[in-house]
Amino acid sequence: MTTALTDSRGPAAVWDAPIRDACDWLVRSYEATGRRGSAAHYSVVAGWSAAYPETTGYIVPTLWRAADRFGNRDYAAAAENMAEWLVSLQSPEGWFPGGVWRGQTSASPSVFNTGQILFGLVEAVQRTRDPRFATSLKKAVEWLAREQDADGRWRRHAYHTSFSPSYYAHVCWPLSRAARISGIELAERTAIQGLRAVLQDQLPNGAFSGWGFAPGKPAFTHTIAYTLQGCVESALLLGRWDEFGQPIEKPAMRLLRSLELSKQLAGAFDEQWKPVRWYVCLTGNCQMASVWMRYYERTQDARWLNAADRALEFVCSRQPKRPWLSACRGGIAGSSPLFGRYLMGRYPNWAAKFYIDAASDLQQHLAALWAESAAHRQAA
Amino acid sequence: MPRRILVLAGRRRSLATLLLLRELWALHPQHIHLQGVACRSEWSTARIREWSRRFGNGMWRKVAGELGLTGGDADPEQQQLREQLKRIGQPECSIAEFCGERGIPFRMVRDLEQPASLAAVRAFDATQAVYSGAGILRKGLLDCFPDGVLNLHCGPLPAVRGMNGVEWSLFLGLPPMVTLHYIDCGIDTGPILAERRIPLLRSDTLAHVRGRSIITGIELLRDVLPKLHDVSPRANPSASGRQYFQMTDSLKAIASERLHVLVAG
Repeated sequence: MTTALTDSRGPAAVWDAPIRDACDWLVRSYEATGRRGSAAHYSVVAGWSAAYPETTGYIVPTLWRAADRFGNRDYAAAAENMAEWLVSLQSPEGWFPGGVWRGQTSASPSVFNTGQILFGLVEAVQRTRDPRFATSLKKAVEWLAREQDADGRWRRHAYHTSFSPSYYAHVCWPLSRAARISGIELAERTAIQGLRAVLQDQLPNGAFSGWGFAPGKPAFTHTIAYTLQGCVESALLLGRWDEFGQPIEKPAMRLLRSLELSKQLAGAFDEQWKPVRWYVCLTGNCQMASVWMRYYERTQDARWLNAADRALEFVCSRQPKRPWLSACRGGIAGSSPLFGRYLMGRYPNWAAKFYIDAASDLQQHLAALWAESAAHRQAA
Repeated sequence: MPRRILVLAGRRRSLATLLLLRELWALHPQHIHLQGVACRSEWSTARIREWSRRFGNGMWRKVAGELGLTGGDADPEQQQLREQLKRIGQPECSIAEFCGERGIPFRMVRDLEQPASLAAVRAFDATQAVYSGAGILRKGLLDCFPDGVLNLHCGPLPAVRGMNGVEWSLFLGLPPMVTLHYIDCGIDTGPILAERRIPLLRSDTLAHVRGRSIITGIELLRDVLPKLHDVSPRANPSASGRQYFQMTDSLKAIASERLHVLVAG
């Protein structure tokens, strides 16, 4: 990436256009479903998919923050409409459906998807103070608490029956947000129990048993990062760094070294850290960049920021800027190469979401460092 | 008794290695005998794969550079080395040509790990080696030299281990420095022999400082090597430093800004 040093924000300035392009792509993914949820992905073969409640849930806060940042009302309107659409999908028991939305008749409860939709509901409660969102949030938290077993695991309503993967840490993170922002005490208890169960699965080498979509198989960096990010963000929100944040440093540093030494983060790793290198999971890059930046914020050790920057530069270099298919412009593919194993030939909405989140954080850090150096230079 | 030195080089065409050889060659009257050069081949599958990952499409420019098809005249780092070679009256040439003209044994090896390569290195009958960018050295190779392998690191040790030592030093607000140390099985963790600050000029860019770090390091080696037996190495506790990796362009821009502050102050 070329560094625009003429801007007062120095190297941070180059991120404006890629972030805005990704936001515009997310808005197109929402328009493609008739302005309900965000389409799960754009396929170069089949076009736009149906709306995906799970990822629409965590896209809501991303678009709302982008609206603040760019002063773009379309983003805010899209975020609010998506949140309203999500509330319309909730069951009387409080759960949200798994998979892409194909109508009420095929809806079945999903723990993970309900968790991800909490992100959107918490943001909507915060932004609008609308009681519909608050009620929906409370019902969803109560359902998640009810479905949790006494040992903190969720075994029902899972992607694979009875398999409670470590990436359920990414259910604990929105529960922690619900606890901190909406003051729901039950959410905090449920999150802590869930995180303790996840950390029981951590192996001595820092990896987690069952950190992929299926037990015993190499995990995409996407689900690895779900696990790590869920723990780290929850640790920060709950003020329990030693318990939930510290144990993640080892795998986070392991992945950092892997990226730095081989210049690309492998697409997947097994539980012995054996990499699958022939493709890169771009979503995993973005999510890991966010994790690394949390460690940078805590320690000021710039190696974490360097890794985040490298991972995101790689993703940015794969973001279509002037594609022959306008639907791809600004989107982020599942894999690099495009026909890599993760989401082959498709541009998932969650890749764009995690890219926007991470690149926005990176931009802030770079701008702060640049401002500090420029101030010293002026003083000198 | 003369000290028998082998240079472990990473490339056939390297201005830094050429400068190093020229200075070592000039130490002959001080009983430093240049036994030869073992040069690791650039053309291994692993290295090309690494270049592909590291440089992407820019790999072809790198390949052209290695083949001597591009001069890299505009690069201030290389320009500094060129000027230094001119100052000491050394014409630009490949390592093999330099050795050929002086009768110094020169040998290409595929890598520095395989038994055949180790045998070739041992055949030089050197007691000590000087490293000039030949990849990570493993124990088998280090054991070939009873008096150890010397390395010049472009950063203060143990604070800044690993890559881009100049850039990371500046980023961290440390004065840029070169350190002469022994290589052990870790990354820049061997005992420290000497260090020297890199002189800075007001007009410096990062590339200028990088180029001058190589020149300063080679001068440090030239000064220390004849009296090495009188130097007591000091410990280099890895736990008190960090291993750094290749710095990204964005962070380099910030390091460059900090360089300007340093030279202005």
